[in-house]
Amino acid sequence: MLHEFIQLLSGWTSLDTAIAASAALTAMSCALPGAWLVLRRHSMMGDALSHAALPGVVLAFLFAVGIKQAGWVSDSQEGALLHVLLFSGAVVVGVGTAWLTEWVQRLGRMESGASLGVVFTSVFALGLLLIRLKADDVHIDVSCVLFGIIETAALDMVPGTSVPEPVLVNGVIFAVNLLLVVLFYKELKIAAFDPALATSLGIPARGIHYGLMAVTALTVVAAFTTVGSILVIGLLIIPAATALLLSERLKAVLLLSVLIAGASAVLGHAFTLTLPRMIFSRLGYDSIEDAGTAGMMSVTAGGLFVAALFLAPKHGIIARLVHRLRLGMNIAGDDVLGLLYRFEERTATRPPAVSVPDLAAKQNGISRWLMSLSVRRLLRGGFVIRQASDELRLTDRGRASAKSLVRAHRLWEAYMARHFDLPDDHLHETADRVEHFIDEGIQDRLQAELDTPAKDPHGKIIPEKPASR
Amino acid sequence: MTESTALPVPAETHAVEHPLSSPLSIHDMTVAYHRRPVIWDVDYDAPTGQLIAIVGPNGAGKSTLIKAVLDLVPKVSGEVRVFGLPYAKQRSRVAYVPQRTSVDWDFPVSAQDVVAMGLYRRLGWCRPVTKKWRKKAREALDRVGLADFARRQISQLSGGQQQRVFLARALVQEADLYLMDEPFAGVDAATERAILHVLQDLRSTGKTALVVHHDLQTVSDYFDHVLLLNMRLIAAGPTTEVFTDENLRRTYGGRLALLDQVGTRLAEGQR
Amino acid sequence: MSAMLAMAMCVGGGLEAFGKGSLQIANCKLQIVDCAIPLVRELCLGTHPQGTHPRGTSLLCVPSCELPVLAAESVWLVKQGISKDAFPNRVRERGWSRVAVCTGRPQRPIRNLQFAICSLQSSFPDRMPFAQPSPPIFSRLLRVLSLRDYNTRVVLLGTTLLGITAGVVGTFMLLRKRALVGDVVGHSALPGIAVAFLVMEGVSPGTGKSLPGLLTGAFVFGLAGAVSVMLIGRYSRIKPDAAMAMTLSVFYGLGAALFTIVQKVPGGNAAGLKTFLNGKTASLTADDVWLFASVAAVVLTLTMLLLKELTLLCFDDQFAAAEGWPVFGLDTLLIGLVVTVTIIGLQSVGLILVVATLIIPPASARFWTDDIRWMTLGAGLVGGLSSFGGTVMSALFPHVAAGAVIVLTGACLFTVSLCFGAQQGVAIHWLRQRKLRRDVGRVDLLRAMFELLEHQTREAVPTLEQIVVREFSLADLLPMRSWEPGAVRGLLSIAARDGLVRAAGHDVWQLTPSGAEEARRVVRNHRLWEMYLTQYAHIAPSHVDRDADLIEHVLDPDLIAELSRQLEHAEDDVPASSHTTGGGSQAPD
Repeated sequence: MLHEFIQLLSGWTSLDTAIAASAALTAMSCALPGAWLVLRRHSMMGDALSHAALPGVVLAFLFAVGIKQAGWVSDSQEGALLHVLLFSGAVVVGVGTAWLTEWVQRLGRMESGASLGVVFTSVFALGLLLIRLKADDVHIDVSCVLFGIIETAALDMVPGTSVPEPVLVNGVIFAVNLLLVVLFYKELKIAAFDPALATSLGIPARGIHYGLMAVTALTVVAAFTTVGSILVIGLLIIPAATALLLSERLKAVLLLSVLIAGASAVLGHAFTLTLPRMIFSRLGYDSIEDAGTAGMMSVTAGGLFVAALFLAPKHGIIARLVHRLRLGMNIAGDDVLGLLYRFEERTATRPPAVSVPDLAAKQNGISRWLMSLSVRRLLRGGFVIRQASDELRLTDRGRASAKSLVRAHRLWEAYMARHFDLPDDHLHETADRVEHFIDEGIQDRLQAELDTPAKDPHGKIIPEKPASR
Repeated sequence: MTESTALPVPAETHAVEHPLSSPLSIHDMTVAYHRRPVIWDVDYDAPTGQLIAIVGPNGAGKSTLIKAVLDLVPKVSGEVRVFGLPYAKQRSRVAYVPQRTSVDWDFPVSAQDVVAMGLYRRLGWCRPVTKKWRKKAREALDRVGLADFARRQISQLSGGQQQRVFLARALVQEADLYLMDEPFAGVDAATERAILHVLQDLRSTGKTALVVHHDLQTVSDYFDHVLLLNMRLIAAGPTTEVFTDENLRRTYGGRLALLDQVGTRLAEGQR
Repeated sequence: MSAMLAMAMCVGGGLEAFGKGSLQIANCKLQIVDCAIPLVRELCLGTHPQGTHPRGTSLLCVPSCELPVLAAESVWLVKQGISKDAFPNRVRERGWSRVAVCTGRPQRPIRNLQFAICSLQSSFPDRMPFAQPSPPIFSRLLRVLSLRDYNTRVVLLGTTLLGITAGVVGTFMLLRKRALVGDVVGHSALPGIAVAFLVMEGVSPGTGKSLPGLLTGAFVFGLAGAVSVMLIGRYSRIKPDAAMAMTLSVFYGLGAALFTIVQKVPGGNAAGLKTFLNGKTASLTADDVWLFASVAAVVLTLTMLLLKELTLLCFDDQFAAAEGWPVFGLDTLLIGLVVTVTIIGLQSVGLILVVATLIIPPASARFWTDDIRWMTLGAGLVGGLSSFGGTVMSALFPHVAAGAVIVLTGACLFTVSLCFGAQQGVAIHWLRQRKLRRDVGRVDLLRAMFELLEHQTREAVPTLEQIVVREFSLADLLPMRSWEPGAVRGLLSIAARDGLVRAAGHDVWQLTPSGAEEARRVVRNHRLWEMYLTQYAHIAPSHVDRDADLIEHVLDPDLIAELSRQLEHAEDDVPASSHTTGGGSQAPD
């Protein structure tokens, strides 16, 4: 499988490099404003802006055609004119959409999602209609708008060089975005976290909002030719969301989202070259060689997100499951130790030992499976030893650990007895649940607060703090 | 294996008992859930036919207590019985008045429609609200002094009137136990009197009401019983006995840092 | 960006050639596409001398759905280094036919293939040399509206039904504050269509485009999209808006990738699948409409039956949960309804705009009514109307996509509702505000007059007779409040129209008996409120006046009675102000 993958990748040419580079720069330039959109909980605004870009582009073309027909520009100036029109159109449309959404929301007293939905669908529909009506002047194919065909866009070279044009355009946009983030990092941060505070500090939160919208619209228009108007949403949002799963520090999130964006673009193109052929040749379709890179970029980014969702070190699903399992095992192990310790306490004259099935019977609520697993862990850790006929006995190490646990339990009971208006016989159950969460630091604080009590409310001796472990 | 069968059960457990008559008996209930205030080991039997205030500082877990009783928030441990049975089997005997701020008052329904929602469960699936039921809703609105506002859209009501609509929705359920979350919060004097009137009315017909209350000045005037809560049950009983300066000082005298800290860990362990 | 440039540059040159009829058409159902594959090769490999569009290049005729394939193909060709001569074989394998020769002006650079292709394609239909002269617009309109064509009847019925159903279901989605979930569902349906096509082609070739099968695929993926949003929200820290944007683009990206593949499946004619993107009402058949009608009937019946449950869910889910209603189940049902409606709506508006049919109708209806039942009906009406109108328009103008027009018709209805809606519209709101402002102004004016009198007569409570005979000049009134002369004149003229004051000379006014009565009443209300605040809310008397100004305009009669009772004032008495200079001041402590 891997061999096949590498073999297919070996067909990588300079054209692939051009495509991957264009894709990566597009994705990275999107990731920066996208991260702020996610942080400000305006992700769907990205959706709206990318849809709204369509009429902006169409209008820019119409203007360009009009100006050219009027004979105001020469052929050589036309390119520059179109660039200017496109980017200024993008800013106008971006800010306009954001403003219209806000206006409809306020005037109609609607929920923001609903006003967004009304505005961007209408604007997009207007764009579609314009394309059809003005088909003679504006030659934009709807399919290209909706899917984006990065493969052919990357064939364009900057005149006189061998640099693909999307690389140049998106590279410039990326540099501009990076510069803006570096320059206005503090302002962006505070406006995202607490707009009211920002305003009171003299930072124009509304200005920042509209500025971000303008920059996003600019970036979206630059990405338009390569990935189309809908997949650009993914490039805006997914890298930032993935980065947010992986880190809690803002700078790290920004850096990570740029890296993830670049990685999903390059990987996306690599997968385009390999995966479809690998999958479909097995299904009997030998003619399938590749799939659209733009789509695969988005899918790859989604894949990276799902991977982060599961594998993230702290908040990932697997990390949480492992944590939970470990916690369950710790609790079961603690319960075994505690039981053995209490048994020892009662029958100090005889050598204490308890059988494993007995343990399971005593600790209802904990599955047999978990119990035997934790007993095995205790045995391996040298907390208990197994004697003949399946009986357990505490080692010194286990006794120290159990002591700490029982200490936590009884200290908590004493603490509750002081602060709670409860009969003494109600204390045990809660203490049993909580004892696992009380580490030595809290034990010491409990002890200090209770003036080093000797006995718990039931008259049992609270063990002393173990010397060292 | 004789010795292990004789293994002494740690003598730190106890038997469970429930007074069958109690409208609400909470047994050793601990709630630690996701950024909500933790409540520790509440053990309480509500007396029948009384007005009971739940009093405590912000973040003491007053609303959480009610929500846990209603199974809206999972419990770590403990048990709740309503007239001797689990809540799920006794829903028809309990009426709940949520906080006014929990819903969107721009919603396109009239006061009467909201009150009729209290009847939906008795109506059952797919059955429309007919004339007979609408009449019931209007009667309940009349009881809270809003008969003239039945057709009014709810956003056109004042805050106090909205609160009374919620109260009417609970009344229409004809329950035996009423759980109310801050009904007196931010209401005008007329509403306060109307709510109080309804509460006294309920008491006179033998119903029980548990009311989250924030105004210490009026507790003694309005309520027979009081339940002082600050992450744990501080004291509960007849107002005259329990609502003392000493108890209030214990309730409002700051949070117990250790209880807070361990509670947060317990909540994390639950996730 | 040169792609964009290329688009603009195609305006003249190559295209004019078509217009001049230098194009031979082999099969009019196929659309024309540029020649450019060998051209690209030449350009990329640098074998072409000037990088310009050479005269006499072959044109290819390619079904429009295969555009991305063509683009990818060109890249493939470049990579393979296939020579120009081998290209015709490639063309034959694909089943494309060589049809025409471009006679565009030489020396015109076409640097981007993609848009060159697109430009020709999208510009061509209007320039079809054999296009029939169409009848005048009026007779076409008559023809469409009189439902003379069987096909028109079918299509109109189908889309109108879809519009109604979407509006009704969208109402609950809007009220549940999940309006944009419809957007996710629509976009997520794309891979479903491709997968369904692949599966059906795989099972028995040639059946790939059966509509029920495609819709089933779309349904499954649409539902999967909605569920993913829910799961991401539940199992991660990602906020719902980001979860929606993400799901939408990942599913759509998968769809885009699969569509490239679908078009390369040998023998599988994928033409027409893309009508799901933008919708194509014209392709609806009677069978499709029957399918929609039955689905719509089921959805509408379910919604009507569960009207009360869904209302409760949307209004107060916590109460619903406490009451024992299955909130999760109801939510799932609602999502299921939305997915169903979205999927059958794909045919009329397309998957990108389908969300508009869910949001715009209920959002418009909300401006007209404050009752959820009427809102549901209104949303159905707006949805039906916009679908009907849009379909008629697209039937009249053949190159206008129905989806876009349906949405724009809806947007027009929305704008009208936003402005003139009877309950929440901007106009009615503005009128209410104006009335409130005038009421406030009137109260301020009357109170100013009363206080002036009180101040000058040095008597605690002026009698009605004293009030009526007093003449007020503008100069008297101005210092009472911080207001402009113009504003006072405006207030006075309104008050005069209402019969509260009458002019007694230039800028001199007198209160009428009814105005005097009213002045007493408003001053009494005001003072009662002041007293209430000072006694009960522990506000220092100097701060009272401003609060009272604002709040007295919202006092209910029952609250006034309440205040009177509490302050133990006789019904007709005007209590003295707690801080005016008038006599008898009895400020409470």
